[in-house]
Amino acid sequence: MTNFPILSAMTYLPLLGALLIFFLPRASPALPRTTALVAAAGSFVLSVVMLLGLDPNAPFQADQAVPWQEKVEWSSGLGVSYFMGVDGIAALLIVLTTLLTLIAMVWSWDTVKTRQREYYIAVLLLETGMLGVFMALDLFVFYIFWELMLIPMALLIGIWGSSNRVYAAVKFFLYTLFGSLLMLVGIVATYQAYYEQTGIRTLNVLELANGAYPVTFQFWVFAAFFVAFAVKVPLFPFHTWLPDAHVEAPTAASVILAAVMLKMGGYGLLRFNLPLYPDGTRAWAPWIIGLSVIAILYGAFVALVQPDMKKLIAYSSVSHMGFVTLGIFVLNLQGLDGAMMVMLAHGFNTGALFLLVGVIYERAHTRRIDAFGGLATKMPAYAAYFALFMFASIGLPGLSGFVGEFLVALATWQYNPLLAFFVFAVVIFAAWYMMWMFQRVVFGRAKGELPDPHDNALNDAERAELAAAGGSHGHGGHGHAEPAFGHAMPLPVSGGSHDHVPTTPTAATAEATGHNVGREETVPDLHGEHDPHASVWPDLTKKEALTLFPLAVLTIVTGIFPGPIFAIVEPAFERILALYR
Amino acid sequence: MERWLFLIPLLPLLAFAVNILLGRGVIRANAHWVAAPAVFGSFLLALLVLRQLYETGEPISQHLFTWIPAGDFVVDVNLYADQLTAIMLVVVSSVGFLVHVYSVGYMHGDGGYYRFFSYLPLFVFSMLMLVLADNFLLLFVFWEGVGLCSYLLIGFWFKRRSAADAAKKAFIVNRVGDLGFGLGIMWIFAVFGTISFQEVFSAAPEVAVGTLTGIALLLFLGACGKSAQFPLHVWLPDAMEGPTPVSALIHAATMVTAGIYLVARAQPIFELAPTALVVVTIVGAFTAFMAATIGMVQNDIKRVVAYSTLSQLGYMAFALGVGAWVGAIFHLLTHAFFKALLFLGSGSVIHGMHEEQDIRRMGGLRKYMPVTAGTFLIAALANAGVVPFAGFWSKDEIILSAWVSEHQPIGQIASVVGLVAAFFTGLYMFRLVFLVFFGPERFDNTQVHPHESPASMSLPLVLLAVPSLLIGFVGFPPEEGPIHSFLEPVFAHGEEADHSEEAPAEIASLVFLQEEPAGEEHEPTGEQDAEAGGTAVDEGSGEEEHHVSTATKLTFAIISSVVALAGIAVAAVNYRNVRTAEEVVAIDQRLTRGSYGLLFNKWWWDELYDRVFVRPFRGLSDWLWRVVDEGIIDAAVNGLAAGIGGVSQRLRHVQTGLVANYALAIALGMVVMVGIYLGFFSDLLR
Repeated sequence: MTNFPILSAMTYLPLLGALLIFFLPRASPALPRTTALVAAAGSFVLSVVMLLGLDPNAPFQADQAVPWQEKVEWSSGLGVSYFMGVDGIAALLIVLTTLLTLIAMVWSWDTVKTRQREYYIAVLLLETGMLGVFMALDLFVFYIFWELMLIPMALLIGIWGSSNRVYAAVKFFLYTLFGSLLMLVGIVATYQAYYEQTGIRTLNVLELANGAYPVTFQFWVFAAFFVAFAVKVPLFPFHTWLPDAHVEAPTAASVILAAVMLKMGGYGLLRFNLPLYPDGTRAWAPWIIGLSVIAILYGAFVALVQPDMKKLIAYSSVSHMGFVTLGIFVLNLQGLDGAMMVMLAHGFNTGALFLLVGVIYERAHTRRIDAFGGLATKMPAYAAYFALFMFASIGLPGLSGFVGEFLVALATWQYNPLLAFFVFAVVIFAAWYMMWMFQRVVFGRAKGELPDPHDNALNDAERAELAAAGGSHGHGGHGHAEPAFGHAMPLPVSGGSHDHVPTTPTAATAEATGHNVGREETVPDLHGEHDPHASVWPDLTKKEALTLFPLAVLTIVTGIFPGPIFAIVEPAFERILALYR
Repeated sequence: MERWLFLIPLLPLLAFAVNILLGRGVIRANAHWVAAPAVFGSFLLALLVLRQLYETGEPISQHLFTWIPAGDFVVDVNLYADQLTAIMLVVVSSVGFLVHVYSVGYMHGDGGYYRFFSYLPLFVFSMLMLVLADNFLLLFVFWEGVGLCSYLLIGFWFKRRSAADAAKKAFIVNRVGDLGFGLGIMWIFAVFGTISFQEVFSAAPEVAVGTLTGIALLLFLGACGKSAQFPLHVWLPDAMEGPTPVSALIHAATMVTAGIYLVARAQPIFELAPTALVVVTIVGAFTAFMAATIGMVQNDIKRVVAYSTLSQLGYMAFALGVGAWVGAIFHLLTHAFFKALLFLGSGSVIHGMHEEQDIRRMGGLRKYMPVTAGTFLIAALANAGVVPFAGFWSKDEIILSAWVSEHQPIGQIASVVGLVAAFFTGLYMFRLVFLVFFGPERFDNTQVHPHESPASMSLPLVLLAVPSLLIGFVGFPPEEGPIHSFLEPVFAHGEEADHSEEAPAEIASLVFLQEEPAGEEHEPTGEQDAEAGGTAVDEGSGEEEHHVSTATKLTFAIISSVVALAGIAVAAVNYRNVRTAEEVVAIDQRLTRGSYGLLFNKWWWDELYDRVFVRPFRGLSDWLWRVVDEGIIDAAVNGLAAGIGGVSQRLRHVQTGLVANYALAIALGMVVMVGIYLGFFSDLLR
């Protein structure tokens, strides 16, 4: 097992798939997606094998090939080597990557209809790039993968996105490139500094970590790396590419972007900034903590007033990811554990939320919150998933979101209780913006459906509507149109065995015969007028359920049993924290 | 029971899982056959726990698994049942079971029947776990869990905007409280290095009073949210949008008492933080008074009962504040039964009146629904505090304990406020009784044909009427009843804590401990102080009765009875014979004089919060988005981009959409980069 280069196999399997698609004949339309699915599935299986076989306690070894570590010298003169390896932090994020990519492939199966070959090639290249980023232990290799993943993502947004896609793609590209270039400067500077110190040329991260860099040097180089990663996180005020990118990107790209690519920021900070520049970290930590707290609250506030579902979720990501940077820079074990947990939970929950937006986008071709309503009636399974991920996202204990955010807040309390207050206050606003969206999209009445006469918050227009419809709803007992009754028809559900008589003022005026006629006439009319699609929206398809189900299981299981995750990452965190004691 | 404790919450959890997964397709209208027996099983097991604790007095605990092992922050899922838990278990499972039975009739024919019988056992599970939790964070987990169920059940009829609004409001207002609770837990961990109840409580006497006060106030903020105490009381009346059985179980008998339970559970902390206790007393007394005044003029049958719940929770809170720990739990116990009965009776009325909830359009219903009327009357008498109904014993004990407590003058003020509120209680309760069940019929009986509810609904009413009548006798004779001796070990905690030489070593090393030496006046420091200290700590259970003479007790019993009867008499005089709906309002206005507007509009709290919090926050959000985000940050970025406009213009042309081109570009780019690197930064080529 030790001789099988599992890391490289996992990383290049998608690349292989991309090449296959590229060279295979164009004749068969099913071939690209099948190939892509198989490659992504293979990568996922390899990553799970890797995770199961990982010994989280084994530290990296700078010079030799140990299990889950691969090293090939490229040019010893330059100090560049092909050096890949995983520890607990990387391993979990790698599995997250392969899983979410696989889910994205399944999602794309029948939703991507244009330029399929190119689409799958781009996604596969993206996966190779992302996996490489999480494994590379040589800065040269790291930088190549980092740039490699940028381009396919920009293409996915720019070609398969919605109306304003080019703007969003260019913005994403420039923002990230700006950060990357600064990072390149940082890489080169570190390389030189280490060479001047020791006379050894190397880009091996583990060796570079042994260098003793001057404080001022660390201050600036830290900043160069930090900007690259802060753009990716994204940390306030480097976040404005995110809403545009998310809104314009196709669903699968949004999922990968939110679930995986944002984590690269957090991962980069943990892998490079903290181990290489302890003095820089100490100097910058208070500022970054401040920005993180701002991001947490700011993201939540701005999410509160978004009319577009994807934008709302994008700003909620800014808020959630603020917990990651905060947890990292308070520099204690609970903070790091919490940051890791937030990264994973955000991967599951936000990934799933984007899928959920995708589900109704496929049906309604809009993401505007006010275009929806009453989905619970017609799409009960959809509503159930939506509710689950909403609660996971707003940090309901027992689901994944809570553990990480509570740990980060707890860690922040140890840093500064007042900050913990501001940070934890976000639980109120998170509930506010998510429930406000949930209520408008999932609760309420569907378009074309009559209001519930027992609704105590009816406005005049709705009362008039009810009266016009002939007051046919004695709404027996509590017979409220339930999911199962489906299809937006305001059927007067009779209250079972009890004989109920209309009691509302409007209803009372109608005669039994009159309201039947009235219903027949008005309802189809309302239907046609308000929303032609309303009656044909089906509940989740099997494929859609298949993409959501694993995330649902993961968000529940990791919420109840987060222990193994901590066991996997804590040795790596302990090694980082050892630098700061 | 040690090995089987986990079964108590597990049974309802399984019922939830079965119904939510199979309910829509397979089980449908039989969902209650899954849920009700499971809850009944929990009830039987809870009785076993109660019996074992009664016999042995030894708390039962069980370790299940470790939830969060994050360094030194370790959270176990441990179950712990002492006498307090046992009482809560019995209350939750018994009322829970009866509500399940009642719902079979009440929810019959509802399209969401299976959904209802999924959420209900999920709630019972969460509530049972809440009282079984042995550490603060686990309690918090299920605290949020019951909040989730509350959200789902208030918003059960989600088509109604009013219901969806109420559900959201309940959750968000509760989150304000949870903010306090959560921060309290963090503070506890920072100070004690643990969040386990037993370890925290035994170390509490070593901690500075200021710290304990802060922790206690944060915990109490959480309690204010869940138990709907001022200023977080605004969600509970709106929560009446949920189906009535839900109001009975969650928003009267059990969930809303979780805050009271939390404070009682954290008694060793509160006992050492006198300032916090004063706050608890003031908030409780104010809530008891305010809610009672609002209850006098509301016209929705459920809202009147809801304000009554608020008011009774206020009694429990100020009982806690004055140190009448047993009194608070005693009232919690009696209240659970009579208030559940009031709600279920209201539901029966609503059901029989075809969804009418406005008491102005009722009247004379006792001849149509005798069982409902009779049981409702019992519950109303219990709520008003008339001898010998259940509520009398517990409420009287609270008022008396407040009067004689050592927290003066606040105790006596609370006591008087409690008496005033008791007068209003009699008034609003019997305004309701007279307007609904007595007097002329104010509805159109050609349209509405009131009828008694089916057996599945009336049987729970009868079964709840029994404890509403009799359960008060567990507190008889006052302050020396079985409940007092049963609960005594729970609240005697403060006494033993001080002898704990084995207080964890790390506690002693904490810095803040030096701020104040342990126990100046509120903390018995040695054997010689034990008697005095014990008295202070054991309010209302141990030695308190020694200096409350029988005469005092009798006097207070008479006073509170007279006050309650006076309220009832005023109601009888005014509302016995009201002919029209307009007349109801006219009488309300006459009785409340100038304050009618204030009371009818619930003291304007909703409007105030809307002005002070909701709208400013939305305005701020909008400003942040449009001005800061798009106007400043993004504009700067785009300006920068426009400055380099040529670049982006060219980039657009690069995007031909042909992957081959991109691959080429990537390859070229790498060559260029490597070239630059080799050329400028490396010595290799020089």
